[in-house]
Formats: sequence, structure tokens, C-alpha cells
Amino acid sequence: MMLWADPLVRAPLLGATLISIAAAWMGALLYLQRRTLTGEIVSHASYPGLALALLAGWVDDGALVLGGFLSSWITLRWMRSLERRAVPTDSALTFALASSFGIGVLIVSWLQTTLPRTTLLLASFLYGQAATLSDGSVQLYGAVCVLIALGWGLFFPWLRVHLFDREFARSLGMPVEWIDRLLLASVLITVSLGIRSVGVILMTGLLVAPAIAARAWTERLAPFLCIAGAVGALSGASGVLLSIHGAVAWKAYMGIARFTLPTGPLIVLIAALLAFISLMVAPRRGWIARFFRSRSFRKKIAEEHLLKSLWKQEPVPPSRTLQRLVREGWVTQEGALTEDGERRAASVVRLHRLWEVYLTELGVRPDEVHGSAEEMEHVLTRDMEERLTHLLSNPVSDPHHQPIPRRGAKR
Amino acid sequence: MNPYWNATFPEVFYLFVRRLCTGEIGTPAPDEIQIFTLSCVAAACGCIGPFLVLRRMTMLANSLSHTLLLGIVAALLLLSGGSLVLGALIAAVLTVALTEGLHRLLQIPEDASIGLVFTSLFALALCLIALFFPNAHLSTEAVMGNPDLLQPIDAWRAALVAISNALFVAVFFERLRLTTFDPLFARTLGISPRLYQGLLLVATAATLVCAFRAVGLILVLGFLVGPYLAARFFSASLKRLLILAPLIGGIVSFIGVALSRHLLTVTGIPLSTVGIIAALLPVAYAALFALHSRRPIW
Repeated sequence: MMLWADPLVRAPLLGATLISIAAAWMGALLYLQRRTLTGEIVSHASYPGLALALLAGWVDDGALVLGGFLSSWITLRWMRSLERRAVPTDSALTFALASSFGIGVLIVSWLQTTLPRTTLLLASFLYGQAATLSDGSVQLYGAVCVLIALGWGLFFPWLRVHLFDREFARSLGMPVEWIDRLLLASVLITVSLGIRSVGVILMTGLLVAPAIAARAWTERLAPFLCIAGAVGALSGASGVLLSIHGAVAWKAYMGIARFTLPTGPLIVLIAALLAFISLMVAPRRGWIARFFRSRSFRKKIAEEHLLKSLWKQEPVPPSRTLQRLVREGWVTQEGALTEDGERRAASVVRLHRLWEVYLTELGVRPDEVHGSAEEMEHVLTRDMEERLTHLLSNPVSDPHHQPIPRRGAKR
Repeated sequence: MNPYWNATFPEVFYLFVRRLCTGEIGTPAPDEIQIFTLSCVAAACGCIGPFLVLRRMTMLANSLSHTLLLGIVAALLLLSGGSLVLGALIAAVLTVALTEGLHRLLQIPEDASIGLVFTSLFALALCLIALFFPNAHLSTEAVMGNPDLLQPIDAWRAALVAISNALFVAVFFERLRLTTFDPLFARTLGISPRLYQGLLLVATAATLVCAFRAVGLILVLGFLVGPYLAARFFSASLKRLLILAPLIGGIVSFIGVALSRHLLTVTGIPLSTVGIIAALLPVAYAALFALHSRRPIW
């Protein structure tokens, strides 16, 4: 592909992709610990450190990471000290974030006058400028990705325990506090590195959107991490490509000579879009799937109520539900129950009355059990029915002295 | 000719008071416009900041400060710069609706949904700015403000918001206090906590918009939270805090402008006034803490 050959495109493309993967993995970590907003404060708090590093004349990635790491670490410590003085967490976070960012702004204003050549680099830290990435950055990001992947891969069982059951991990003798520090340090490093691509303000998006997207598809940790990484990679790559080609297209369309589409916001927008799409279409956990599931459940409830009414020989007005029951063979054309329909209705009634007996055994008054049973009759599974039968010693009548149909019977 | 040119720190205060007394302040110097505007912004924030902190709404304010840029850009594009406040209000409603929607309907944990909403809306705003306002420094000014470009009209707007916030808090004080500290009891009395939550949000959006030009969208958060936290060392009475917080904010702004002028005079480097104030707020917090308590700061 010609993209590969073009050195101006290759480094930003690869670099943005790699650091997006790393950020996605770190973001997955924060997401699971419910500490997404830590990513927010870490990215804003790196700003003064980055500015100071530039002031000292260090322009390479390693020095910038060191500066960003130190300033965000100091800000986090300050935030913790605020929390210890009974400041609510969110306020401590906001204050620390605004103050450290402000200090960054102050240092940048100083730099703008004394070292004007670095100003452009600093401006790129706000919103990212992947175009400034070099082959050296690509190698560094690649190394970081490999390290993170190795870390997750080698220590997967321990990390899983640590994330989901800290006390159990502690009881196993795992050094829980040190693991926390190590994880936080890797977040700090990744964020400091990623700022060159998406910038200080948007970093949270790159951290959280892939995790949200991945969570929609799976409940298991390993697929979760893989999908998050994939979403990150896709966002990073398409963001860079879209910003290049989009800029070309817009220049042609508007007839202007100079135009750059910012890469950082595009990467985050694409990641957010992927998250939104995942939340909608993912099977089982997606909104569309849940919508249809709940709709079919409501249909089931309506059907079973109708079947029960027919079973009890109550008059049933014509309705779409009735037509559906006829179509599916539970009810005859004339409006009577078929064999299958009788059996299904009887089993629903059985569940209803079993539940009423159960509640009465628990001490609920007989005139209060009906409402709960009306709901539970659609939800109780075969397994629960067996256990109830066993538990209640196979009762034959409910609290209202109505007979309970035997299992599989029609009456 | 700017009368504050070459002034040092104490001279700024002296000049200001003198011009105030002689009435020369009627044609305000840029420094004075800055002082007025920033103090009013600080006062506006100090009136509602305490409620935001006590109701744990600061994350929402944080989110709102980012999404507001989209509201402003949309107002500039669609209403042709008509009412920025309208754009801000729409942005506020959108933020709350999306965050709640994502959290409830799509079952995302709350912190993740806040993070997703504000970064994506902010990213969208940045793209729109790049497409339609490529030459404006809107994106950097949005987060840092540009106090040097302030005009008297900005000071009047800030004063208006400060007064309206103060009135809002004064008139609804009892209900705000009740819904903050005991929302369930308020419900039993027929007072809706959600109503006052909404009103506070509207006030916050208006405050953020008027602070937009002056201090930018991120540093205004410092104004919302910092003075209240500092005032907290002096009093636990909400009434007193609502007077102390704006006062502390106003004083810090004044000192910040004076310090900025002083540093410009002494070193010749024009530092960011907003950055100075944002750095001063934690200093004020630490100073008040040290004054009030005999324990070491860390």
C-alpha cells in the first residue's frame, strides 16, 4: 500500500494505532476498577510536567513521559491528601485537575515568551498532533504495547483475582498495594505517552471508549481485553487515515490551500462511535437485543394470561394475542384450547399456585400472595418448579383451596 | 496609555483605589476590566460552588464545562452567534440526558458514561471548530480563556451572572439547603430535589458561559471548588460560606491580576493571568489551612 511507503504517514499511523491499543488496555483496567476519572485527572495533571520537561530542553518521548509521570503523580498525592481532609472525592478531583492544569497553562505562557520554538509542540499536547510522531516514538509505543501484553499474559490469573476480589487476593498473600502501585504507574506512563496523539483533554475518551465497547460484547476478561485492544487499534488507525484523507477532501471541497483536520478528536470520535454501535448491536447485552428480548417476554406474559383465562373458561375477547395463539397451535380456530394449549395453561396455573403455597409457608397472608404469583408464574423455570414441588412436599391445593394441576397434566 | 504600565504589585492596589476614589475608573484600563470581570466570575462561582460540592455535582460541572464548547460552537453555527447562553443551556440538557441515558438505558457505570459523553461531545466540537472556524484560536482560548481581550461588556455580563446567582441563592436558600442535606425529607414536604438540581445546573451553565471568555472552561472549575474548600476552614455555616467563598475568590482574582502585572513589569514576560490565579487558589487553600490549623500541611 502506498501508505506504507509514505514516511510522513507511516509513523503517525503506526504510532497512533499502537498507543491507542496500549491506552485501551489501560482504560480497560480503569473501567473494571470503576476509576475512569482517575484517567481524567492523570491526563490533565501531566500538562505541567510536560511543559516543564520542554522547559528543561528535553524533547524526546522518554523525558516527556518522566515529566508527565512526575506531575500527575504529585497531583494524585495532593488529591489523596485532600480526600483525607474530608473533601468529597469528586470535588478533590476537580480542584486538583483545574489547579494542576492551570499551573501547566502558567508554565506554557512563560515558555511562549522565552522558548517560542517549543510553543507549537506544547499546543499539540492539548489536542494531540499525531503528525509529529517519529519512528522513534513508534518503537517506544510498540515496546510499551509488548510490555503490557506480556504483563497481562504472564500474570493473567493473579491480575484477575486482584481486580475482582481484592480481599481474596490479599488472603492468598498477593502484595495488593504493590500491584496497585504498579498498575497506576503503568497508567501514568501510558497516558503521558498517549498525550502526543490525542492530547491532554481527550485522553479519557481513548481510555474509556474501547472498554465500554468491549464490555457490550462479552463478560469474560480475556475477550474483553482483546476486543478493547482491537477497538483502540481501529480508532487510532482510522483516526489518522481519516484526518489525512479528510483534510485532502475538505481542501478540495472548500477550495482552500491549507487545512489540517485534528487527529486527536477524530480518534476519540471514532472510538466513541464504535462504543455506541457496540452498545446498540451487541448480541445479548446490546440495546437492540435487550429491546427485542423484553418485547418477546411481554408477549409471552400476554399469551400465558390469555391461556390461563381460557383454561378457567373465562370469556376472552378477540385480540392480536389470541390470533397469534391460534396461529401457533395453542388455541383452535373456534377459540378452545388445543391439547398443547391445555397443558401449557395448566403448567402456568401450576406454577402460580405452587408459588402461592410457597409464600404462605413463608408466612405471607393468603390474600396477599396473588399479585406476586401473577408475576412469578412466567419466570419460574423447570428446575425451580421441581425444587418447589420437593420443598413443599408436592402439594395438591393452593391457599384458596383450588387444586394444583399435576406436572404434565391438562387439568 | 495604560495607567498600570510598569506598576509593581503594591502600586496596582494603590492605583486601583485611587482611580476608584477619583472616578477615573469610569474609563477603565484593561487591568481594571480584568479585575472586575474575574472578580465577578469568582463571585458567581462562589455562590453556587458550595452547592455543587455538597451535592456531589462537581463531576457533572466538569463534564458540562467540556460539553459547553459544543453548545457554543452550535450556537455560533446555527444561531449565527445569537445567544451563547441558549447554546449553553442546550448543551447542559444534552449532557445530562446523554449521561443519564447511557447509565440507565445502556447500563454503563456512571463514571464511564460521564467520561464517554463529555470527551465525545468535546471532540465533536473540536472537529466542528477545525472545519468551520479554522483560523480562530477558539480551541485554545476555550480552555484557557483570554483575559487580555476582555471588554467592559464582559465585565457587565459577569456582574449580571454574579448578581443573578446571588439572588437565586438568596431567594431559594432554605429550599436549596434542604434539598442538599436531606432530599428525602424535602420530598415528603413536597419540595422536589430534582427541580433544584435542574435550577443549579442552569445557573452553572450560565456561569460557565460567562466565564468562557475570561478564564476558559477548565479553570472555572477551580473557581467553583477552590474558594469553597478554603472557606471551609473558617466556618461550617452554609450562610457564612456563601459569603466567604465569593469573597475569597474575588480577593484571589484581584491578587492574581496584580501579580501578573507585577511580573510583567519586573521580568518583562507576559504570564497567563488565568494560570496565575489557578495556581494561587491551591496556595490560598494551603495558606488558610496553615493559618487555621496547627498541623503540618502534608
